[in-house]
Amino acid sequence: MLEFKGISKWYNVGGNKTYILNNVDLIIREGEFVSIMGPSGSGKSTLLHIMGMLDEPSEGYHYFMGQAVHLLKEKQRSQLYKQHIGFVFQAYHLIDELTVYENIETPLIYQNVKTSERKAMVADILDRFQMVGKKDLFPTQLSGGQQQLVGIARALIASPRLLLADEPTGNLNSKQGEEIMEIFKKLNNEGVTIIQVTHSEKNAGYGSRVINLLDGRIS
Amino acid sequence: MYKNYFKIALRNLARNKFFSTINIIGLSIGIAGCLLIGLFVWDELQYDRFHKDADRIFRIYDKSTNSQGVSNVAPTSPMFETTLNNEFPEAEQSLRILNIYGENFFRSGDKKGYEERGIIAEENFFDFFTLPLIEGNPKQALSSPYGVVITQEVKKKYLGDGEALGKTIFVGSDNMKVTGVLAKLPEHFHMEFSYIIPMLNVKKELNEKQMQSWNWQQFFTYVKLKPNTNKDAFEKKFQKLITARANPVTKEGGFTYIPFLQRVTDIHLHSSDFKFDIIKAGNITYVKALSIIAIFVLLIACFNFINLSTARSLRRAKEVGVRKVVGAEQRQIWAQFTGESIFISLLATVLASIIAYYFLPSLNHFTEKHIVFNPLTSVALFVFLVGLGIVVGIFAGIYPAIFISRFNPIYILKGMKSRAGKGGNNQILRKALVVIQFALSVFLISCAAIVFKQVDYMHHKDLGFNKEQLMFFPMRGENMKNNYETFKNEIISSSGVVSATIAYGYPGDIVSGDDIIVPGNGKGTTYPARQFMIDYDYLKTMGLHIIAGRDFSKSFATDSTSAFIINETAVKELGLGTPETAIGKRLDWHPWNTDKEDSLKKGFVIGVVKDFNFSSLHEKVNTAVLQIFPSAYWKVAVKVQTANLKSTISQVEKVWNKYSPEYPISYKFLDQSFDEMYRAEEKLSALLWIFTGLAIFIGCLGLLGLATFAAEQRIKEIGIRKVLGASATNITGMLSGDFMKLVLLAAIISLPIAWITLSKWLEEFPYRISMNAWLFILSAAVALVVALFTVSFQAIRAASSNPVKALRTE
Repeated sequence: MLEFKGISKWYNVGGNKTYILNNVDLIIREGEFVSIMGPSGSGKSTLLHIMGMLDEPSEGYHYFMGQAVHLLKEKQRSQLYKQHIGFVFQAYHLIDELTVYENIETPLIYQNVKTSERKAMVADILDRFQMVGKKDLFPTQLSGGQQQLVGIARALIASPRLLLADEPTGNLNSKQGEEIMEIFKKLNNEGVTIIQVTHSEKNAGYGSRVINLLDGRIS
Repeated sequence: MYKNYFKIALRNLARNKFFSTINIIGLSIGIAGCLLIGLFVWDELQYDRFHKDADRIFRIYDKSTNSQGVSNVAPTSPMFETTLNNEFPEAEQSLRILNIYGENFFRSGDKKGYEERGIIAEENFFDFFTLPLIEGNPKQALSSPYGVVITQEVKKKYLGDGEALGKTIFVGSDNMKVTGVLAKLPEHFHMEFSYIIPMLNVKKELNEKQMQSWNWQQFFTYVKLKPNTNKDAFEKKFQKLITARANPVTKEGGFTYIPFLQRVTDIHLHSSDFKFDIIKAGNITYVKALSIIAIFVLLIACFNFINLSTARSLRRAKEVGVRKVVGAEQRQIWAQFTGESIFISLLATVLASIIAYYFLPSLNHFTEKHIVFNPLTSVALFVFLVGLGIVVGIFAGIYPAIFISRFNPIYILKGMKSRAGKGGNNQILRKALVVIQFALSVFLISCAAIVFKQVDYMHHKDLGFNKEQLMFFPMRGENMKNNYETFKNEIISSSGVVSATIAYGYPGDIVSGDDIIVPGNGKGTTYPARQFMIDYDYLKTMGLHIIAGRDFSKSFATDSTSAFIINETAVKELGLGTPETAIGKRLDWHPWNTDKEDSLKKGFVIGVVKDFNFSSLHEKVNTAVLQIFPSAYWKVAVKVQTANLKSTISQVEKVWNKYSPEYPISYKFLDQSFDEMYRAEEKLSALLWIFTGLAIFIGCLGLLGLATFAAEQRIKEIGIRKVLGASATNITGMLSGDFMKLVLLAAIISLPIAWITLSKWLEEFPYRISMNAWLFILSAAVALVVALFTVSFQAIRAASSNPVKALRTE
């Protein structure tokens, strides 16, 4: 499903290249649940961002679902990830001015889904996450765990094939964290490929494979 | 999708009440100001568009050159029309109009009064001007010598409500039959009058020879060209023929002229500098100036919007980041934010329309217009307003939207908001916009100050005579005219009267122009001059200053037959050396009202008066000749004491009624008619103050917003500085200083431009204030102080906050 070949990312600092990622090769197959681990500054988030096409590598080949992402134009790339990739963040990143319902609905708007269809899809997912009663609340009126649930619901609304999660439980207490991981596991069983960045061995335990990063290299 | 955008726009507005208010109010006031000026300008442009064939009706005026320079003169020689009729087949019709100067007496039964404005027009008047007649036939209304066309108001005043057609009304000295009743004259007609007398009525008084004169310029000439006639070619042909015939003749009188065509639709706005004109004149310069000011005000408001939106955009950064991550393209973000500013702008337009609606009556009152503004009943206006809202929204919103849509989501979502925007460009832009805003404000302040000073100067300049406490009125009735001497003496002896004079030719009133001859070889040299036919009390009553020689005196018998007093300009123009050497010099003049054609009054200069401004300060003082000439005596000027004005007036009235009980007295005060001459400038001055105030207010709103934002942004820095020992004063200085530098820069940029513009404007006035650097520095200082006040308010608040609190929140 996803393949990196010689992916590097660097910044020029005072004339010298500072590598964030250095010549990373990796392959992730459909249906995997991968955890990326490593100390702070090892390049985990950057790797995840490149996977999600939010960031571009300085060098290397990037294939996603059979397409050479490094050759695609901005617009095609955005089309590709809009359809197939969902994001979950440590800080949830919900839009404060929108209600739970509207937050979940937003990705569909950018995929030109019709209003009636949108209604059905959002109702469906609210039901699945047992949040129907909270649909008109604003994010600030929810607990962290509930916010992250909304974040996940939003990431899943367009039925992506790949779910990218950047320390999804980092801001949650352990009980909330466990719930989220259970949901991830269930999703993975339903066929969604999941890649998560995590510090926690316990969370990594939910996955099928661990990739360890150190100083921008896979170790 | 739009519902989603709309909701978020509303929620953001509601969440940031302070900035929303500043943004919307600033924009509303800007648009409202612009709308009001726009309505005024639009209205000014509507003049004379309603005439059938307005596109081929022209007025003919002259560019006249004499020893004092070139000027535009509205009335022309009677020969213009004659020539048009006889030799220009391109002219479908031509029309001559004479103005009736002064009030005319009207009477019907026991109703009597004076009508101030009247014209004398040829039969085809109504073929030129589409003025609806309530009664009468436009084709015949002016075709009998003793017919008169009156307006509805005049009809009501003298003839009551019933039908007026065919009824008799006494006008001036004749019984006239009403041949037409005009509906109220359209507001956008360039002339204003209450009655029209047919040219046939005065034909008997205009002798053949006079009607063939090229020198006598009294007729307002209009021409209607045949369809598809080229105006420029026609004008050239006409100029060629007229100059060839007229100039050899007029040269002897010391002047030449070239005729020009003026579109009927241009008359109102493009005749403000015309001499001897009778129209309702607007002023294209002021219309343009106001349009520019309107654009300035709108620009300042838009810049506010741009500044505040970009400054505040970081608040929306997270939303943008999230939207991008969930699939929004840059274009979509851009569309969302542009849409949002269009929405705000439309909201502001609605508010602006309400403001404009409520302020329009004041504008109408002030400009004496009757503009109607109701977007709910006019589809065109409604569409225009929506369009305006959209255009302003796009103009003000496009940059912030582009700026925001370029945010890099990764930085935002990592919480590195400050790196999200691309570079510091928007800082520079924000500063540049503040500089432009205040440059415009300083420019407007200096304009307002200079215009105010000039108007003030015109009101208070020493005119060379004393216009205060002068009551003045024309004599009426044979008895009064025949016994003017005793009439005058009785007035002088009334209590409260200082002195009185009877004359023809008062400052601010009609002054006749006639040549004066300096005898020399052969015929001598003829000079154009203004003639004052005065009595022995004129100089004293008007407060003119003798600078050489003496005043007229009854003790010199020759003063009534062969003496002239001239002004300083005359001494120069006639080449008489100095005021002292001018005394005793010979002057000749062709007297009026004699049957002998070449009779000549031979006289000597007995006195020279200091120049006095007998016309408005828009015009330079001309050669003036004063002489005793009782047969032209017309108006009485009475110098009265300030105290007990009412009883003095009733005393004068009593004397009047003794001599002419059949006529009511109708008087004016001279200073009033003088003040009226500067109405245009006064209004410009007032409008300038209002819109300058608006511009500064809007600019300061923006500054307040930016200062608040800056204080918010730097709250941590301020906290650290305070912990390190900075005082509140230090911090206030630091925060205010940044903005003050910008305002100072703005002043430096705009003052030279203001200086040049205003010098040019002042050049239009022969009598003007000198440009005063202090006034400009003061203007800049005002802007600085107002800005400082606005900014320091926020700065002090930020500086006096508790540093611990600021640091803890980080």
